[in-house]
Amino acid sequence: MLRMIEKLVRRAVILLGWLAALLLVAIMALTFVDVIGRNFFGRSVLGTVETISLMMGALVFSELAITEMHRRHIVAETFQGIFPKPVRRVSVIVNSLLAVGVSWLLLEQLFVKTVNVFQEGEFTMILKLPYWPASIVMLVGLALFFVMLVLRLIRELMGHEEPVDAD
Amino acid sequence: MPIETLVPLVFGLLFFVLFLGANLGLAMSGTALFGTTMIIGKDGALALAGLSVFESAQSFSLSVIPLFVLMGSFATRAGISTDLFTAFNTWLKRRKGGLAHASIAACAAFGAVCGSSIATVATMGKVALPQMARYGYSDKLSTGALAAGGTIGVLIPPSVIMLIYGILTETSIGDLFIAGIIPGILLTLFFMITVLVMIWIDPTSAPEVADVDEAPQRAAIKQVWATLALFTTVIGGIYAGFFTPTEAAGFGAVGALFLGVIMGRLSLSMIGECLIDTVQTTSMIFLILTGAILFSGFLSLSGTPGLLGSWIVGLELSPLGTIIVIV
Repeated sequence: MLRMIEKLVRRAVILLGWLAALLLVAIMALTFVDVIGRNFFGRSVLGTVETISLMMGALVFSELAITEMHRRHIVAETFQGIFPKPVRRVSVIVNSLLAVGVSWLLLEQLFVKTVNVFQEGEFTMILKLPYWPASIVMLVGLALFFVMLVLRLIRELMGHEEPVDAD
Repeated sequence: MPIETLVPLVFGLLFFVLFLGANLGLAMSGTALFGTTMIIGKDGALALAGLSVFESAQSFSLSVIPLFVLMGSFATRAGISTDLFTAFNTWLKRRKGGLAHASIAACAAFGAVCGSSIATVATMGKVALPQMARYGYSDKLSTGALAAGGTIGVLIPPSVIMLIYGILTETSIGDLFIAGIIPGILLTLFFMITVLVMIWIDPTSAPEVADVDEAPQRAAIKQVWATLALFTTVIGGIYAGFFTPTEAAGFGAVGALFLGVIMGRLSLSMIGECLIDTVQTTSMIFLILTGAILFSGFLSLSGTPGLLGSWIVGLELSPLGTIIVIV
């Protein structure tokens, strides 16, 4: 069961990772076109700042989970090596509990914010782009990050050091 | 709980969870949430945290980070590090310890397109270490030259650390970049002088002169101009007011991609890897930024900067003494 859930979550995480990569291409292209347009043709791309702002929110949140999957978030590992094995196991579980707790609190707040954005129909100033699509991507990204942390906690409690289907 | 007790307690908690090996961004966020809750209550602390995180993510100024990281990633995959090392080796090979000098100079030049010390050391290490081992350089000299050379990337623009500092403190990133150039060049020269001193102390640590094939050198020198032109356009553009740092980063990323593709060194799959690598680095930085924003919010609410300021003024130190205490 855990193996199946992990497989599904990993697929969703990878999919979201590629969405973030596409958003990065869009941000790069938009910035480039805007700077060339303004400096060589005297014309900026309308709403560049607000469009990139929306995309950045979606980009950073949609990539949290895949970064966690590849264990690329910064942790202070310096002292881990000096702990005896049982202490190390306890510290790993305490860390995971802390990570799950904090990410749950942030997820809760982002959920409230997303519901507000959706209900109030907030739009950007210039292009009148709705905020809710970016907010939903952010929420899904943070939710997947939270699920990844919960799965890691379960693995650690069960005594598995690495993901069941680690690639 | 009195502030005088709360602030050391929160710092203590932070260091304790970091000692246990916690995720840096989440540890800062968690301890900041605890501290803020003790001051303004749970609901206020959570609402404030939600707002801060949401707004810091949807920020135009944040886009400067992935764009500069992407520029560095394209440059790395396109093999610019090898070109730089070979080119500097060509210019410096007549000197004793030429490869060590070339490693330091190439680290500085690579830092100018990469922006990350870790990436600079990792990339240049793959190129320079085998060469130095091949020509009989001592491990102490070769690894020392690379480790020292890697730190230059933090100073020479575009530096990821400067980007993070600029965003957090709302300091002009353009000014920070310009301020890093001269110290970066000076540090490079000092490291090269240190290599000379090391060789003077232990002449066996480096061979007389390394022999290198001429043909690849000429090609590398030719290709290195493209990298230098990209760096000059990006940083010169910021200095001349032609670009904002974000625009320069976007221009630089497209420029590095263009160079990699026309040199035939970037395939579609490599471009994909660069993109995924960049968004992961951005996410990693963002989580730390989130923690730093929440933690600085807690410190402001607790009035810590004011308390520290009053304490330092109360010490009645000289200007130098004040700087030492701040450090």
